[in-house]
Amino acid sequence: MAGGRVEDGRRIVSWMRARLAMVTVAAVGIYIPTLGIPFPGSCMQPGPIASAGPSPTCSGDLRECLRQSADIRQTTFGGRYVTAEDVARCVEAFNACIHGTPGSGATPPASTGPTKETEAASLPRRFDLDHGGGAVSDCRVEGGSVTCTANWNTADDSFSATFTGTASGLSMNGTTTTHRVGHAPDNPGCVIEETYVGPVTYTFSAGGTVDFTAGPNQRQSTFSGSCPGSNSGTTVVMKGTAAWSPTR
Amino acid sequence: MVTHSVGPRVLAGALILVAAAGVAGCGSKKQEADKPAVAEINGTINDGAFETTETLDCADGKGLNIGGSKNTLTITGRCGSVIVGGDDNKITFDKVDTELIVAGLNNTITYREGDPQVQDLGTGNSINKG
Repeated sequence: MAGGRVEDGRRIVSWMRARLAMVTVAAVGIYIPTLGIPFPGSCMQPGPIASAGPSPTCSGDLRECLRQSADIRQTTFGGRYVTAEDVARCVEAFNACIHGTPGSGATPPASTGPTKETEAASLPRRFDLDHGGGAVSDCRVEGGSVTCTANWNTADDSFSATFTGTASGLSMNGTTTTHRVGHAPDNPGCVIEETYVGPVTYTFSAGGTVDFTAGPNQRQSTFSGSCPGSNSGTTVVMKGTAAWSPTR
Repeated sequence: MVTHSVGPRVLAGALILVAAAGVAGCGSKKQEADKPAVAEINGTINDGAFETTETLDCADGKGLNIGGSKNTLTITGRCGSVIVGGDDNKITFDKVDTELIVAGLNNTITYREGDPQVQDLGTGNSINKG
């Protein structure tokens, strides 16, 4: 009986230690929800030709656009060609992808910074946000809407995040949802799944940096394995700086 | 001015598409077949031919987009901005002024004059001035 109480006490202490570790991790995780994340999709305008799927770069999108244009014009003799109009359309989408604005091949290239549109600078149609630690978001701008996605891993955890919002000039605002699956550092048998949801605002500079303000985030944590249970909370507002660059 | 000699396979392909459109009575297919592989659009030459030997003229600063593959191209005149999205092309330019972006694969490109901003966004490309 007494031995059972001792064992129960040890289990409670172990459980409390695991929870304490989780709270610590959750607190550290406040930074994580600031990451933007893109949904799969192409920055190219598919036009009348459907896209087979996203490619990792604007140049890859261009090749895919041309390939599909050629495929639908494959002849019975095996000859292939792309119409001049399709070439122009694919290249226009390529220019929009890398420059942030529509343009023809005769248009001088933009710099690697934000695009100047008439009087106001704007974000390119596709860019990366690098928050460090392998957390790089692939962001796409379509009209005034922005979607970003990211997937990355640390030694103990895997993360996925999505950002959806709107862009105006060199700023974007929206909501980030970050999902984390991992383990308590001192309790490998304790599996943690957490979701953070909260607002985030980004302010981009031409120099390749972006200041952000994130939170408060709503956290929902679920524990399984050796530490079944769940809890939730609200994180504080965080400010930070990340790096960004147009995707080529 | 654009001068080009489209290969027989391309012409045959275009004719086959026209014939198919006629049989099916599909207007949209006929429109597709009537569209050329090479045309100037808004001051930029767009070339989507495959496996051809062509001579194109950038004249005095036209842009050029190469969307086809396996071509041997001689580009005369002075090109403004050039984008190569196709693969396995051998292209020789007289002069490229503004920019030379190569997004395709395994292209061999030589330009004799000009000081364009060169960006190789593909793989296996050879881009040289000389």
